Amino acid sequence: MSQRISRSTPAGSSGCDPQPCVRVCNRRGVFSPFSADRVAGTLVRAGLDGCRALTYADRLADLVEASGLAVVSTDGIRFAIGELLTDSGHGCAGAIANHLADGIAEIPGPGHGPLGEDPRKGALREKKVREAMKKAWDDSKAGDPAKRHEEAGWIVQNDDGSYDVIPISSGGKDSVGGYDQIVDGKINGKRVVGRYHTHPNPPPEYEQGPSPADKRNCEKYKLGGEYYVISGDKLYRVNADGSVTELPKSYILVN
Amino acid sequence: MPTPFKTIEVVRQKMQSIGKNPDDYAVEIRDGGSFWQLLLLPVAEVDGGDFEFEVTKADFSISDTKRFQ
Repeated sequence: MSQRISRSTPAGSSGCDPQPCVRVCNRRGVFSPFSADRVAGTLVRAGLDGCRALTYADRLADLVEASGLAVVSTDGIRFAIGELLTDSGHGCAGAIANHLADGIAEIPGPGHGPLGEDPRKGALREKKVREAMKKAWDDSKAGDPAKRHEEAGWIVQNDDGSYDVIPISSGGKDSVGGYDQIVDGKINGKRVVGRYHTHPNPPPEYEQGPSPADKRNCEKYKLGGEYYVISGDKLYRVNADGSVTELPKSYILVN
Repeated sequence: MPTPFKTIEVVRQKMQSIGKNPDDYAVEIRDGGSFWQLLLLPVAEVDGGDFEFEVTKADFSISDTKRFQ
């Protein structure tokens, strides 16, 4: 006997899935709309009772929405569901969200291919910038309390508008410098337009977002809009007006 | 409004207790009503390494600490 299921509709919502624009990419590169109802149905067919299936599907939908991703992968969804089901302790929302796009090789720019608009802006669209930021995070050794330290780099712009990165020597446990390298707004003759650095120290001892000192330097050197902080769960951008935007860390983990 | 000298001294001692030299920081003080809020920014031009303390006016106890990176 088949089991009919239905998801609860949050008060004030239209009754549609909360991520009508999010699409799922499978390993063959075929796309379909993300649907929490479909996830719940799959879980029921896999043997979960309807109530639990709806609960996990709703939690997954929340994670997908919070990730800000336009495309998630079937591999990422499997990983997320696995974490939610096992409640293994690795299942903090940010950590799961970082895997939601696993297996998607490339997010092309606007108008290219079925993925459509790349939600990333500015220097983040440059693969070499993203790779440098990911390397900085990996080199920070966030998982090793004895060795974790800050890594950083400059984002510079070439005359043709493309971006390059200039890594900065490793910083200390909870700070990193390098500002003395800037001469008349340039390093090695290239115009400095941004900066990234890591925050490898976890909460609750340390705050995760940009610090007052970060914002002070960002403003002084006019780096707003391309000033990034990479933490364990999120990517933060300090904007030109001093406000901070939280971005999915997957922005630098997905090529 | 009197300058909260004792509040600053409390925070200096706190910094020393965690192995930091308070002279390496510039202090910004804000009046938070029932508490003083002290932001300690590194004098050196670095990202991170700053602290924020809330010190209650009533008993000069540190009620909140934020450590930035």
